Amino acid sequence: MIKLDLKRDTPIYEQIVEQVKFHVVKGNIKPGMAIPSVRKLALELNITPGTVAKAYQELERQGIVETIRGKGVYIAGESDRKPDLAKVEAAKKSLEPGLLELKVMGFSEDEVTEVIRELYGKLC
Amino acid sequence: MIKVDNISKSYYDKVAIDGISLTVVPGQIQGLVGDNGAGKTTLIKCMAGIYKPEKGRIIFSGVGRDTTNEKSMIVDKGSNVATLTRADEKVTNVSAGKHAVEQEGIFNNPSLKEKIGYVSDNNEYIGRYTIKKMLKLYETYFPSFDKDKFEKLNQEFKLELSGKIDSLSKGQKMRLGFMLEVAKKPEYLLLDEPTSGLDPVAKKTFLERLVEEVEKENIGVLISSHNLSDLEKLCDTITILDGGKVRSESGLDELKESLTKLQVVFENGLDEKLLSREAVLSFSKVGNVYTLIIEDYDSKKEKWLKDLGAGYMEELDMSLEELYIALETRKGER
Repeated sequence: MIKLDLKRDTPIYEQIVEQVKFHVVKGNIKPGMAIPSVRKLALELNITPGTVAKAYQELERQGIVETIRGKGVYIAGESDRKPDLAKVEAAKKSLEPGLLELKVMGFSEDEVTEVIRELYGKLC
Repeated sequence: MIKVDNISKSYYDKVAIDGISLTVVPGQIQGLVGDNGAGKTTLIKCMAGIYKPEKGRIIFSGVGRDTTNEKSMIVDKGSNVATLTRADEKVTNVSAGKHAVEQEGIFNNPSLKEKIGYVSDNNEYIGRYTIKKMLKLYETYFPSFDKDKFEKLNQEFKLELSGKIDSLSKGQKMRLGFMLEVAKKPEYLLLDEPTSGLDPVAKKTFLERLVEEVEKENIGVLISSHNLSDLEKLCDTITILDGGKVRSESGLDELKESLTKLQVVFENGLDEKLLSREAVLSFSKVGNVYTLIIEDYDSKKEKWLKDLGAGYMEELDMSLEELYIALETRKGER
């Protein structure tokens, strides 16, 4: 389910967070479904259990997963996902350079919106 | 918790372990590494109650299963279910605390041996017995022995129950030892080089079953191995033994963070004599590209490298194996 790219600058735990989110958004894993336990995923990916635990803590903090002690780790319901203002700001910032590029090339607001629609459509 | 407090043990005039302290915590996996002769097996045998240490104590506090432990890998959560569980556990803990069975000394203490599973690096069972007969023996000795659990494990480890123990290979004896000791439903497992002799498929099965026991039954594990890449994906903490003493005990991630592996280009070459002065544990080079392992790397050391003429610098990922070898090399130089 999760593939690591050790050559990327993104820390490993963030790559796990990213990919779990990606699968959740894509609907590959649905609310209520179990994901591998901390230790199982560590074995599978050949990384320390601490790294996986850190990723799962972050996912839990954002309300993407929930841990039920003694049972396992599950994808949380959509209503549990907490909007995080800092994350929204960071996401906006990461869009800026691309938008700037498009504007320089003469894209209108409508054309830019169309690009965003197309990208969004790929996630659903 | 198993608390080893300052124990020593010698064979004739040779000191095997010398003042070792460590703790094994429920729900955690602790790795034990060290050179041949560093004292790993002696330590484990003392903890398993096979040897009696000459000095020091080993205290076993049986607080039962499902105890909370602060360092647990399991992430606590805020929902109702977890709050309930946590409240329950607190109650259990308080009551367990009052009646905590604190026992000292595992040597000659059969009731404790039931709670501590031990798989030796050299499993010698009664050779002329069949596995079936060995199972009977375990059932007689250990009331907690769960035959169904053994059979479930054996669906994966696949030993012929009517076979004689003498006819088993080293790896098969290791599988048998692991299954017997886990089916005892112990609170702790002490494993001495359990992966040596296992074929790749059996090793994978072994690692998966082991983490399952830790996560589901909250058992505490001490595991020694020379296979550092196995320990890396398994352990929460690593204890390094050296000449019968504990050289370092720390969380695996902290241990890894204490050293930094850098790839540095010195375009105008480098006077290598300068490197050993600071905390450069080891280096290798290809042309002008140096790979350095540096202890406690910080901005001061970065500046020092730049002053030496470092151009392009990149931090590389380091495995436990590289880390261990770097620490060993430093020891040799001192």
